[in-house]
Amino acid sequence: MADWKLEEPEAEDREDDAGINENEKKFLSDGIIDHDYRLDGRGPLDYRTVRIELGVVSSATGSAKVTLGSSSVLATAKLSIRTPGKITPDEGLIEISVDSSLPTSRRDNDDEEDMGMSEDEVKQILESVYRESGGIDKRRLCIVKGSKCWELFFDVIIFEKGTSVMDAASLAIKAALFDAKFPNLTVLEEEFDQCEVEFTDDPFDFWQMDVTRVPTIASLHKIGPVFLVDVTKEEMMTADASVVVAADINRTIYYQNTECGGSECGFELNVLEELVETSSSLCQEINSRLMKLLASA
Amino acid sequence: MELISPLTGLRRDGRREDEIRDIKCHFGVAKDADGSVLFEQGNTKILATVFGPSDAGENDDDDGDLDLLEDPSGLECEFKLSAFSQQDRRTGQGDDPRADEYSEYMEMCYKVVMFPHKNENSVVKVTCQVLQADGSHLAAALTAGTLALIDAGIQIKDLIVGCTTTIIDGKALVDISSHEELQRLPQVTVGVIARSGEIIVMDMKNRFHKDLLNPILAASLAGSGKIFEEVEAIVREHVKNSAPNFTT
Amino acid sequence: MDLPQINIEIVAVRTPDSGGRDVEMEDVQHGHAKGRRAPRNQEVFIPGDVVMDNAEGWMDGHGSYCSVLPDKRVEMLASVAGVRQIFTRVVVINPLKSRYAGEIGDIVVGRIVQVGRKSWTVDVGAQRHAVLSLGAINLPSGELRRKTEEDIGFMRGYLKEGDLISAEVQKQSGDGHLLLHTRSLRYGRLVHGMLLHVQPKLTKRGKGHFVSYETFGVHLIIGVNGAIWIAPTQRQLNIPLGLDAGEQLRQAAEEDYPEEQEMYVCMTAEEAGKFGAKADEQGYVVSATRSTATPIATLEVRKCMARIRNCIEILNREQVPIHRETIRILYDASRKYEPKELLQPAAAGEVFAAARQDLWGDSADGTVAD
Repeated sequence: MADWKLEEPEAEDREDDAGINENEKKFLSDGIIDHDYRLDGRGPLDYRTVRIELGVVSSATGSAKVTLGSSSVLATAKLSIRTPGKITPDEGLIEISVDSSLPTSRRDNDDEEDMGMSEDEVKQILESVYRESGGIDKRRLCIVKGSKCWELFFDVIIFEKGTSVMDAASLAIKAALFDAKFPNLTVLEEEFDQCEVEFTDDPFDFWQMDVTRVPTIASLHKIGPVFLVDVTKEEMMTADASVVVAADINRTIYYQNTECGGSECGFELNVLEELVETSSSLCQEINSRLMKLLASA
Repeated sequence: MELISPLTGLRRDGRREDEIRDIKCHFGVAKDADGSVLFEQGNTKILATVFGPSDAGENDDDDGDLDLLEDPSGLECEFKLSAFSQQDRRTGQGDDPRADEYSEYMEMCYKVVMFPHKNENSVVKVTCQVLQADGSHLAAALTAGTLALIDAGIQIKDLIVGCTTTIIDGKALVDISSHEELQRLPQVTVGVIARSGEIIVMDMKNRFHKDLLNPILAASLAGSGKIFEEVEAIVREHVKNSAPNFTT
Repeated sequence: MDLPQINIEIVAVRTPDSGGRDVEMEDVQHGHAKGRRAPRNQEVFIPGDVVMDNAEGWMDGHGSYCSVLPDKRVEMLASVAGVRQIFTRVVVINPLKSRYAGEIGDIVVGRIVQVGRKSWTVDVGAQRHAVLSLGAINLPSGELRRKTEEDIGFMRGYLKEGDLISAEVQKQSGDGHLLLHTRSLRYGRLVHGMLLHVQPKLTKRGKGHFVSYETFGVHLIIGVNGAIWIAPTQRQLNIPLGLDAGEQLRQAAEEDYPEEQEMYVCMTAEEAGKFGAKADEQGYVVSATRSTATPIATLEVRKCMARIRNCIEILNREQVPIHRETIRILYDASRKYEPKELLQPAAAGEVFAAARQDLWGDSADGTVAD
């Protein structure tokens, strides 16, 4: 029995070792630090092909499925009419929910498949980008000031929780919003700040929101002095720090979060500057390409 | 509005009483799962994934008493209804109040057709997520889960198929859509072993007279049979197409 | 500020709005199956199908089961969807895909998940974890010595959680565990390189599992369990467990390696130090002179590794058996692309189309040439 007791502390520290081991990490980071060369041949800022499918869910106003590397995310936009909040009578409402198609039990025991982001984290980041920081202009959702506004629901469902789930989710939201059709309304009687709205019968009588300035998210991982985009699972486990940045086509930053994953090295100011520079231009590049593509799709 | 047009005798979506909706399947949609299928029955769309069989972990020590309490079959099922799946968005992250019950039904069904001794000390997890809801969710989930099990290469004795049936004016309507579900008519969902026709689960909704039970069950079984025919053809076709580009 | 080049390729598609309700999603498998010749006249079975209506004297192998009918006749039915295969008296249905099921003699690559009292638990992607017992590895004094308490205490020094090993399946225990051994110099701990997972059905047993591309300086271990180890050859891949370097050299000279023409014996100073410390305690001397410096994987080697990795990914996606020849064919076909371009579906498709002729040969039977 004494032997069993001896083993207990060891059983605990094995959580750190789950996943890939130090030698694999070293081999991986050597290539990146010495040659800027990743295991699959990509350079640090190379994304894998992004695939966007628009209009995949017919019961929603707008929807888009985005596949990026090993991540696959579906975002759907739905609309309903609400009364705006008292403090912001001229703004609409935005709700975001995030769910995963993986079995709950599998998500709980994340010993081997720990993909960093939990659904709650994804939700929190998306909310702060698109709702709190004005990533989506809520004034465009106003119908009658103080009385009626659109409530925009985004349901994000994670099919495959790869490493670039944040990037994919933000692209999906932007594409779903692009795809969303807001019906044109006629405002009927208006008395005592109360009014009624009427939908038109014509399904083609709608407007679409200009999403040019809606931000997207880029998540970067740092290995040595190098920042990587669209990391693989192994690279993510090797990384000593990660950054999530949301920026739009004008390089305005909406959200930034840095995380030094357990390593002792923090960020120095100049590193941070460079990082912000890189990531905002990434977002700019992605956004401008995305807009061109969405327009042609 | 009538469910059956008095003029044509057809249902609102143009089906006959005993006609099922179109079934479509895409196998292997979720790459990190052992088995997965995107199953469409009319406009009801379900993503079913299977993980396993994988090691159940430290169940093989001597503390046998505890193990007895656990389910020896090593099967875990989950039924989920996505918030956006329905026409009216459900508020909050609320699960279907019946989701747990449905999960249990799934477990009961698959347990019957699986081989417990072949999966000792290992776990198989089946998840069915309704992506688009248009009626007969439980029935479609039961069928979809079986297909995901097949895709994962897990041994089963036979297929499980599900069918939801309602009855109006003595006419049984099989594989009902959400519109037909809303009418508060007697409703029965069965999960059956495809070939033998044995009913493993039967779920009833709304009250009805016992005399209606026989016709409704007969119609359900007939409907299940039709679903099985469709599904069988799809699986065969799938095996033929993707089977082995190589031989041993 | 000068920015490094950013590469992103975005593809956008709009789902055709047929009747407003029909929804299409990308179909991975069907897409690839298109344009492929039909397999030979293989019989397709799905669970519950009758494979044999009188199975007297036959055995039910994997994917089939027997059931006794009321008239005492024994019927054999299928339990998976797949094609039938008959061995002498055994009927097997091969499912399209399934978890790795081990067989004796399989070469596998696995990861240690737990260090137990007298054994390691190894994840080989099978239904249950495999077990490598302390008695199944080579110890400093050779394999015949009884394992002492000291060895038990030092187990984590040999292999710890997260370590990768190559090993051979020795036998299958009654309760479904695979028992592994590493009692040969070709097996052992894998140190510098990368691991890739493919569908286990594509890595068949009996083909060369140790592949060395000498010209590229790259070495592969193709585990039957679908785990493939890609590593530069300059560096010794598998450091035999607990063997001192001198012993290692001697054995290397004695043993015959049909697949490994070159056998580099080297240990890092770190490794030698680790074993040296241990050896000293036990009174065994490690010959430190053999612990040569480790060559660093050059960019050229890394490029080859990346190309091989991406070629294997293509083979995996296209459901083509993965072995020395198929990898070589794809490697040759992919030369006009940079390794990273092979990640793009368009380039990958083109490379695969170009390699198709060679992969299938001229035969029309749909089998892949060995």
